[in-house]
Amino acid sequence: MTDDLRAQMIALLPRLRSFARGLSGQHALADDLVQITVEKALRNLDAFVPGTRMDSWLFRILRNSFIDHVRARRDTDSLDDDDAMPLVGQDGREVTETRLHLADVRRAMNRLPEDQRVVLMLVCVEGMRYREAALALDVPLGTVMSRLGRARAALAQALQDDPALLSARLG
Amino acid sequence: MTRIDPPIDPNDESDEMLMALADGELDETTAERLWRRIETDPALADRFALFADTRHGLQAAYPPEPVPDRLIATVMAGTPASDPVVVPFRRRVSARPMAAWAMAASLVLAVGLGGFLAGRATPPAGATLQQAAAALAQVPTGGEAALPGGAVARALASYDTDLGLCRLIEAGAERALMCRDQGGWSVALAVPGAGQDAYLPASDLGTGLIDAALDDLGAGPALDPAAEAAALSD
Repeated sequence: MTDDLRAQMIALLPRLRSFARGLSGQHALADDLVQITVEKALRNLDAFVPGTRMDSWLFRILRNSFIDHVRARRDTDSLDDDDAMPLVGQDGREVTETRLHLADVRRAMNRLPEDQRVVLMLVCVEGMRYREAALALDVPLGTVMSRLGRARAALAQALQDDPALLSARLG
Repeated sequence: MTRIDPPIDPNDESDEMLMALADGELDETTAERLWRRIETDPALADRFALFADTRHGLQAAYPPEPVPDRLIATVMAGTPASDPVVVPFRRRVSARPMAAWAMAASLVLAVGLGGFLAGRATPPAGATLQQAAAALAQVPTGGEAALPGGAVARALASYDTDLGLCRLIEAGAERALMCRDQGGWSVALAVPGAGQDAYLPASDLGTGLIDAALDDLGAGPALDPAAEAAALSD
Protein backbone atom coordinates (compact mmCIF):
# COMPACT_ATOMS: atom_id res chain seq x y z
CA MET A 1 0.00 0.00 0.00
CA THR A 2 1.22 3.47 -0.58
CA ASP A 3 2.32 5.57 2.34
CA ASP A 4 -0.19 8.23 1.45
CA LEU A 5 -3.09 5.83 1.84
CA ARG A 6 -1.59 4.56 5.04
CA ALA A 7 -1.27 8.07 6.42
CA GLN A 8 -4.85 8.83 5.41
CA MET A 9 -6.03 5.69 7.13
CA ILE A 10 -4.21 6.52 10.34
CA ALA A 11 -5.63 10.01 10.29
CA LEU A 12 -9.13 8.55 9.97
CA LEU A 13 -8.80 6.14 12.90
CA PRO A 14 -10.40 8.50 15.45
CA ARG A 15 -13.42 8.97 13.20
CA LEU A 16 -13.66 5.28 12.51
CA ARG A 17 -13.70 4.65 16.25
CA SER A 18 -16.44 7.21 16.76
CA PHE A 19 -18.43 5.70 13.94
CA ALA A 20 -17.92 2.23 15.41
CA ARG A 21 -18.91 3.39 18.88
CA GLY A 22 -22.01 4.93 17.39
CA LEU A 23 -22.89 1.71 15.61
CA SER A 24 -22.09 -0.77 18.32
CA GLY A 25 -22.73 1.33 21.37
CA GLN A 26 -19.87 -0.48 23.05
CA HIS A 27 -16.33 0.54 23.54
CA ALA A 28 -14.44 -2.73 23.30
CA LEU A 29 -16.57 -3.93 20.45
CA ALA A 30 -15.97 -0.68 18.63
CA ASP A 31 -12.22 -1.15 18.59
CA ASP A 32 -12.62 -4.72 17.37
CA LEU A 33 -14.80 -3.40 14.58
CA VAL A 34 -12.19 -0.83 13.60
CA GLN A 35 -9.54 -3.54 13.66
CA ILE A 36 -11.61 -5.78 11.40
CA THR A 37 -12.32 -2.83 9.12
CA VAL A 38 -8.71 -1.83 8.74
CA GLU A 39 -7.68 -5.41 8.05
CA LYS A 40 -10.39 -5.80 5.41
CA ALA A 41 -9.48 -2.47 3.86
CA LEU A 42 -5.82 -3.44 3.65
CA ARG A 43 -6.67 -6.75 2.03
CA ASN A 44 -8.95 -5.07 -0.50
CA LEU A 45 -6.99 -1.95 -1.18
CA ASP A 46 -7.42 -2.48 -4.91
CA ALA A 47 -11.12 -1.80 -4.44
CA PHE A 48 -10.43 1.73 -3.24
CA VAL A 49 -10.75 4.24 -6.04
CA PRO A 50 -8.08 6.91 -5.65
CA GLY A 51 -9.57 10.36 -5.48
CA THR A 52 -12.76 9.19 -3.80
CA ARG A 53 -13.45 9.65 -0.13
CA MET A 54 -11.58 7.17 1.96
CA ASP A 55 -13.76 7.84 5.00
CA SER A 56 -16.90 6.83 3.11
CA TRP A 57 -15.18 3.71 1.87
CA LEU A 58 -13.98 2.72 5.33
CA PHE A 59 -17.35 3.55 6.91
CA ARG A 60 -19.00 1.25 4.40
CA ILE A 61 -16.62 -1.56 5.23
CA LEU A 62 -17.15 -0.94 8.92
CA ARG A 63 -20.90 -0.92 8.59
CA ASN A 64 -20.86 -4.19 6.66
CA SER A 65 -18.55 -5.75 9.22
CA PHE A 66 -20.89 -4.64 11.94
CA ILE A 67 -23.82 -6.26 10.20
CA ASP A 68 -21.85 -9.45 9.54
CA HIS A 69 -20.24 -9.89 12.90
CA VAL A 70 -22.40 -8.19 15.41
CA ARG A 71 -25.88 -7.29 14.48
CA ALA A 72 -26.90 -10.87 13.82
CA ARG A 73 -26.32 -11.56 17.47
CA ARG A 74 -28.48 -8.98 19.06
CA ASP A 75 -31.75 -7.20 18.74
CA THR A 76 -31.63 -3.82 17.21
CA ASP A 77 -34.18 -1.26 16.45
CA SER A 78 -34.01 0.59 13.24
CA LEU A 79 -36.55 3.32 13.29
CA ASP A 80 -35.70 5.80 10.69
CA ASP A 81 -38.19 7.99 9.01
CA ASP A 82 -36.03 10.70 7.64
CA ASP A 83 -38.88 12.79 6.33
CA ALA A 84 -40.47 13.46 9.66
CA MET A 85 -38.47 15.91 11.68
CA PRO A 86 -40.00 16.33 15.08
CA LEU A 87 -37.34 18.49 16.57
CA VAL A 88 -38.06 19.32 20.15
CA GLY A 89 -39.86 22.57 20.54
CA GLN A 90 -40.74 24.68 23.52
CA ASP A 91 -41.06 21.72 25.85
CA GLY A 92 -37.35 21.17 25.70
CA ARG A 93 -37.00 23.40 28.72
CA GLU A 94 -37.26 20.81 31.47
CA VAL A 95 -35.13 18.39 29.59
CA THR A 96 -32.26 20.75 29.20
CA GLU A 97 -32.29 21.60 32.86
CA THR A 98 -31.26 18.02 33.40
CA ARG A 99 -27.70 17.67 34.40
CA LEU A 100 -26.22 15.35 31.91
CA HIS A 101 -24.43 12.72 33.87
CA LEU A 102 -21.82 11.09 31.76
CA ALA A 103 -22.70 7.48 32.39
CA ASP A 104 -26.34 8.35 31.94
CA VAL A 105 -25.58 9.96 28.64
CA ARG A 106 -23.82 6.83 27.44
CA ARG A 107 -26.67 4.65 28.65
CA ALA A 108 -29.17 6.84 26.90
CA MET A 109 -27.05 6.81 23.76
CA ASN A 110 -27.09 3.03 23.74
CA ARG A 111 -30.85 3.06 23.53
CA LEU A 112 -30.95 5.21 20.42
CA PRO A 113 -31.24 3.68 16.98
CA GLU A 114 -27.80 3.21 15.50
CA ASP A 115 -28.21 5.72 12.69
CA GLN A 116 -28.94 8.39 15.27
CA ARG A 117 -26.01 7.34 17.45
CA VAL A 118 -23.72 7.51 14.46
CA VAL A 119 -24.55 11.09 13.52
CA LEU A 120 -24.28 12.20 17.14
CA MET A 121 -20.87 10.59 17.44
CA LEU A 122 -19.60 12.07 14.19
CA VAL A 123 -20.98 15.58 14.59
CA CYS A 124 -21.16 16.23 18.33
CA VAL A 125 -18.26 14.10 19.53
CA GLU A 126 -15.93 13.99 16.55
CA GLY A 127 -16.75 17.54 15.47
CA MET A 128 -17.50 16.77 11.83
CA ARG A 129 -19.39 19.41 9.87
CA TYR A 130 -22.85 18.44 8.63
CA ARG A 131 -21.57 18.44 5.09
CA GLU A 132 -18.64 16.19 5.92
CA ALA A 133 -20.89 13.78 7.78
CA ALA A 134 -23.30 13.72 4.86
CA LEU A 135 -20.50 12.90 2.43
CA ALA A 136 -18.96 10.33 4.71
CA LEU A 137 -22.27 8.59 5.41
CA ASP A 138 -23.44 8.98 1.84
CA VAL A 139 -26.75 10.54 2.81
CA PRO A 140 -28.23 13.97 2.02
CA LEU A 141 -27.37 16.88 4.26
CA GLY A 142 -31.00 17.18 5.30
CA THR A 143 -30.94 13.59 6.52
CA VAL A 144 -27.95 14.29 8.71
CA MET A 145 -29.76 17.27 10.21
CA SER A 146 -33.05 15.50 10.77
CA ARG A 147 -31.31 12.53 12.37
CA LEU A 148 -29.31 14.85 14.57
CA GLY A 149 -32.41 16.71 15.68
CA ARG A 150 -34.35 13.54 16.43
CA ALA A 151 -31.38 11.97 18.16
CA ARG A 152 -30.94 14.93 20.47
CA ALA A 153 -34.61 15.06 21.31
CA ALA A 154 -34.61 11.34 22.05
CA LEU A 155 -31.44 11.61 24.09
CA ALA A 156 -32.80 14.45 26.21
CA GLN A 157 -36.10 12.64 26.58
CA ALA A 158 -34.40 9.43 27.69
CA LEU A 159 -32.45 11.32 30.30
CA GLN A 160 -35.64 12.88 31.53
CA ASP A 161 -37.79 9.76 31.54
CA ASP A 162 -35.52 7.18 33.04
CA PRO A 163 -36.41 6.79 36.75
CA ALA A 164 -32.93 5.52 37.54
CA LEU A 165 -31.45 8.52 35.83
CA LEU A 166 -33.88 10.77 37.58
CA SER A 167 -32.88 9.53 41.02
CA ALA A 168 -29.26 9.82 40.06
CA ARG A 169 -29.97 13.38 39.13
CA LEU A 170 -31.66 14.19 42.37
CA GLY A 171 -29.15 12.30 44.46
CA MET B 1 -26.23 14.25 -2.97
CA THR B 2 -26.08 17.28 -0.73
CA ARG B 3 -28.48 20.00 -1.55
CA ILE B 4 -27.69 23.62 -1.92
CA ASP B 5 -28.41 25.43 1.30
CA PRO B 6 -31.42 27.70 1.14
CA PRO B 7 -30.64 31.36 1.75
CA ILE B 8 -30.49 32.04 5.47
CA ASP B 9 -33.33 34.04 6.88
CA PRO B 10 -31.79 36.38 9.45
CA ASN B 11 -34.91 36.14 11.60
CA ASP B 12 -35.13 32.38 11.48
CA GLU B 13 -35.42 30.97 14.98
CA SER B 14 -36.27 27.44 13.97
CA ASP B 15 -34.88 24.38 15.71
CA GLU B 16 -32.70 23.76 12.68
CA MET B 17 -31.11 27.17 13.12
CA LEU B 18 -30.59 26.70 16.84
CA MET B 19 -29.04 23.30 16.26
CA ALA B 20 -26.83 24.66 13.52
CA LEU B 21 -25.66 27.35 15.91
CA ALA B 22 -24.86 24.80 18.61
CA ASP B 23 -22.94 22.73 16.08
CA GLY B 24 -20.95 25.66 14.74
CA GLU B 25 -22.52 25.52 11.30
CA LEU B 26 -23.60 29.15 11.01
CA ASP B 27 -21.49 31.89 9.52
CA GLU B 28 -20.17 34.45 11.95
CA THR B 29 -22.68 37.19 11.22
CA THR B 30 -25.70 34.94 11.46
CA ALA B 31 -24.37 33.28 14.58
CA GLU B 32 -23.68 36.62 16.21
CA ARG B 33 -27.18 37.85 15.50
CA LEU B 34 -28.79 34.68 16.83
CA TRP B 35 -26.63 34.76 19.95
CA ARG B 36 -27.82 38.27 20.72
CA ARG B 37 -31.45 37.20 20.47
CA ILE B 38 -30.82 34.15 22.65
CA GLU B 39 -29.26 36.35 25.30
CA THR B 40 -32.38 38.46 25.54
CA ASP B 41 -35.04 35.79 25.06
CA PRO B 42 -35.25 33.12 27.82
CA ALA B 43 -37.64 30.93 25.85
CA LEU B 44 -35.28 30.92 22.91
CA ALA B 45 -32.38 30.26 25.26
CA ASP B 46 -34.17 27.21 26.66
CA ARG B 47 -34.74 25.81 23.20
CA PHE B 48 -31.15 26.46 22.29
CA ALA B 49 -29.94 24.80 25.50
CA LEU B 50 -31.29 21.46 24.35
CA PHE B 51 -28.91 21.46 21.42
CA ALA B 52 -25.94 22.93 23.22
CA ASP B 53 -26.37 20.71 26.29
CA THR B 54 -26.63 17.51 24.32
CA ARG B 55 -23.51 18.42 22.37
CA HIS B 56 -21.53 19.29 25.51
CA GLY B 57 -22.88 16.27 27.36
CA LEU B 58 -21.80 13.97 24.58
CA GLN B 59 -18.38 15.54 24.34
CA ALA B 60 -17.92 15.02 28.07
CA ALA B 61 -19.28 11.47 27.93
CA TYR B 62 -16.95 10.47 25.10
CA PRO B 63 -13.69 12.31 25.71
CA PRO B 64 -11.01 11.95 23.05
CA GLU B 65 -8.71 9.06 23.73
CA PRO B 66 -5.51 8.04 22.07
CA VAL B 67 -6.08 5.52 19.34
CA PRO B 68 -4.93 2.10 20.60
CA ASP B 69 -1.48 1.06 19.47
CA ARG B 70 -2.74 -2.10 17.86
CA LEU B 71 -4.92 -0.17 15.41
CA ILE B 72 -2.05 2.04 14.31
CA ALA B 73 0.16 -1.03 14.19
CA THR B 74 -2.29 -2.78 11.88
CA VAL B 75 -2.20 0.07 9.41
CA MET B 76 1.56 0.48 9.64
CA ALA B 77 2.17 -3.22 9.19
CA GLY B 78 0.10 -3.16 6.03
CA THR B 79 -1.10 -6.66 6.76
CA PRO B 80 -3.59 -7.89 9.32
CA ALA B 81 -2.12 -7.86 12.79
CA SER B 82 -3.75 -11.20 13.47
CA ASP B 83 -1.17 -12.80 11.21
CA PRO B 84 1.65 -14.13 13.33
CA VAL B 85 4.64 -11.86 13.23
CA VAL B 86 7.56 -14.17 12.70
CA VAL B 87 10.34 -11.92 13.80
CA PRO B 88 12.57 -13.09 16.60
CA PHE B 89 11.98 -10.44 19.19
CA ARG B 90 15.03 -9.92 21.30
CA ARG B 91 13.63 -6.97 23.10
CA ARG B 92 12.45 -7.02 26.65
CA VAL B 93 9.04 -5.75 25.75
CA SER B 94 8.04 -8.77 23.71
CA ALA B 95 4.74 -8.68 25.55
CA ARG B 96 3.95 -5.68 23.37
CA PRO B 97 5.35 -6.78 20.04
CA MET B 98 3.63 -3.97 18.23
CA ALA B 99 4.94 -1.19 20.41
CA ALA B 100 7.71 -0.30 18.04
CA TRP B 101 5.37 -0.13 15.09
CA ALA B 102 3.09 2.05 17.08
CA MET B 103 6.04 4.20 17.98
CA ALA B 104 6.97 4.38 14.36
CA ALA B 105 3.44 5.38 13.55
CA SER B 106 3.37 8.15 16.09
CA LEU B 107 6.76 9.21 14.89
CA VAL B 108 5.55 9.43 11.34
CA LEU B 109 2.67 11.57 12.54
CA ALA B 110 4.86 13.59 14.86
CA VAL B 111 7.24 14.65 12.17
CA GLY B 112 4.46 15.76 9.90
CA LEU B 113 4.82 12.80 7.62
CA GLY B 114 8.31 13.86 6.77
CA GLY B 115 10.07 10.93 5.32
CA PHE B 116 13.31 9.12 5.20
CA LEU B 117 14.62 8.85 1.74
CA ALA B 118 18.00 7.47 0.89
CA GLY B 119 20.15 9.84 -1.07
CA ARG B 120 18.56 12.99 0.26
CA ALA B 121 21.00 13.49 3.08
CA THR B 122 22.14 17.00 3.79
CA PRO B 123 24.35 16.87 6.83
CA PRO B 124 23.66 19.70 9.24
CA ALA B 125 26.10 22.40 8.33
CA GLY B 126 28.87 22.80 10.84
CA ALA B 127 27.51 20.39 13.40
CA THR B 128 27.79 16.69 13.92
CA LEU B 129 25.10 14.39 15.17
CA GLN B 130 27.04 14.06 18.41
CA GLN B 131 26.91 17.82 18.85
CA ALA B 132 23.20 17.77 18.11
CA ALA B 133 22.59 15.05 20.70
CA ALA B 134 24.66 16.96 23.23
CA ALA B 135 22.74 20.16 22.53
CA LEU B 136 19.53 18.22 23.18
CA ALA B 137 20.87 16.49 26.28
CA GLN B 138 18.43 18.27 28.60
CA VAL B 139 15.71 18.97 26.05
CA PRO B 140 12.55 16.86 26.36
CA THR B 141 10.88 15.13 23.44
CA GLY B 142 9.34 17.64 21.08
CA GLY B 143 11.85 20.32 22.06
CA GLU B 144 14.47 21.97 19.86
CA ALA B 145 17.99 23.23 20.18
CA ALA B 146 19.92 25.52 17.84
CA LEU B 147 23.07 24.15 16.26
CA PRO B 148 26.16 25.96 15.10
CA GLY B 149 25.63 26.90 11.48
CA GLY B 150 21.98 27.72 11.91
CA ALA B 151 20.50 24.23 11.77
CA VAL B 152 17.97 23.08 14.34
CA ALA B 153 18.04 19.84 16.25
CA ARG B 154 14.86 18.26 17.54
CA ALA B 155 14.28 15.53 20.09
CA LEU B 156 11.74 13.05 18.73
CA ALA B 157 11.69 10.30 21.35
CA SER B 158 13.69 8.66 24.12
CA TYR B 159 14.05 4.97 24.85
CA ASP B 160 15.41 2.76 27.52
CA THR B 161 17.53 0.19 25.71
CA ASP B 162 20.12 -2.50 26.33
CA LEU B 163 22.71 0.23 25.75
CA GLY B 164 21.08 2.59 28.21
CA LEU B 165 19.33 5.77 27.20
CA CYS B 166 18.94 6.24 23.44
CA ARG B 167 17.21 9.11 21.70
CA LEU B 168 15.74 9.57 18.30
CA ILE B 169 16.71 13.01 17.10
CA GLU B 170 16.44 15.09 13.98
CA ALA B 171 19.33 17.33 13.05
CA GLY B 172 19.14 19.31 9.87
CA ALA B 173 17.87 16.84 7.32
CA GLU B 174 19.08 13.78 9.15
CA ARG B 175 17.42 11.56 11.71
CA ALA B 176 19.50 9.53 14.05
CA LEU B 177 19.26 7.15 16.91
CA MET B 178 21.81 8.35 19.45
CA CYS B 179 22.82 6.37 22.49
CA ARG B 180 24.45 7.83 25.58
CA ASP B 181 27.80 6.43 26.60
CA GLN B 182 30.51 7.57 28.92
CA GLY B 183 32.07 9.90 26.40
CA GLY B 184 28.80 11.54 25.41
CA TRP B 185 26.55 10.38 22.59
CA SER B 186 27.30 7.89 19.86
CA VAL B 187 25.43 7.21 16.65
CA ALA B 188 23.53 3.92 16.64
CA LEU B 189 21.81 4.66 13.35
CA ALA B 190 21.52 7.63 11.04
CA VAL B 191 19.04 7.90 8.20
CA PRO B 192 18.79 10.72 5.74
CA GLY B 193 15.54 12.64 6.16
CA ALA B 194 13.41 14.90 4.09
CA GLY B 195 14.59 18.13 5.60
CA GLN B 196 12.54 21.20 6.18
CA ASP B 197 12.00 22.22 2.63
CA ALA B 198 10.66 18.93 1.40
CA TYR B 199 7.61 17.00 2.40
CA LEU B 200 8.05 13.48 1.27
CA PRO B 201 5.84 10.57 2.14
CA ALA B 202 7.18 8.44 4.93
CA SER B 203 8.83 5.45 3.40
CA ASP B 204 8.88 1.92 4.69
CA LEU B 205 12.62 2.00 4.45
CA GLY B 206 13.38 4.68 7.01
CA THR B 207 10.64 3.64 9.38
CA GLY B 208 11.65 0.03 9.08
CA LEU B 209 15.32 0.82 9.67
CA ILE B 210 14.65 2.74 12.84
CA ASP B 211 12.22 0.12 14.00
CA ALA B 212 14.69 -2.66 13.37
CA ALA B 213 17.43 -0.75 15.17
CA LEU B 214 15.19 -0.23 18.18
CA ASP B 215 14.42 -3.94 18.17
CA ASP B 216 18.08 -4.78 18.10
CA LEU B 217 18.74 -2.44 20.98
CA GLY B 218 16.00 -4.03 23.03
CA ALA B 219 14.16 -0.74 23.24
CA GLY B 220 10.93 -0.47 25.14
CA PRO B 221 8.14 1.92 24.29
CA ALA B 222 9.06 5.60 24.08
CA LEU B 223 9.61 7.00 27.56
CA ASP B 224 6.86 9.17 28.97
CA PRO B 225 7.82 12.72 29.94
CA ALA B 226 8.49 11.88 33.61
CA ALA B 227 10.64 8.85 32.84
CA GLU B 228 12.46 10.81 30.17
CA ALA B 229 13.21 13.68 32.52
CA ALA B 230 14.56 11.23 35.09
CA ALA B 231 16.73 9.49 32.49
CA LEU B 232 18.07 12.77 31.11
CA SER B 233 19.04 14.05 34.51
CA ASP B 234 20.96 10.88 35.39
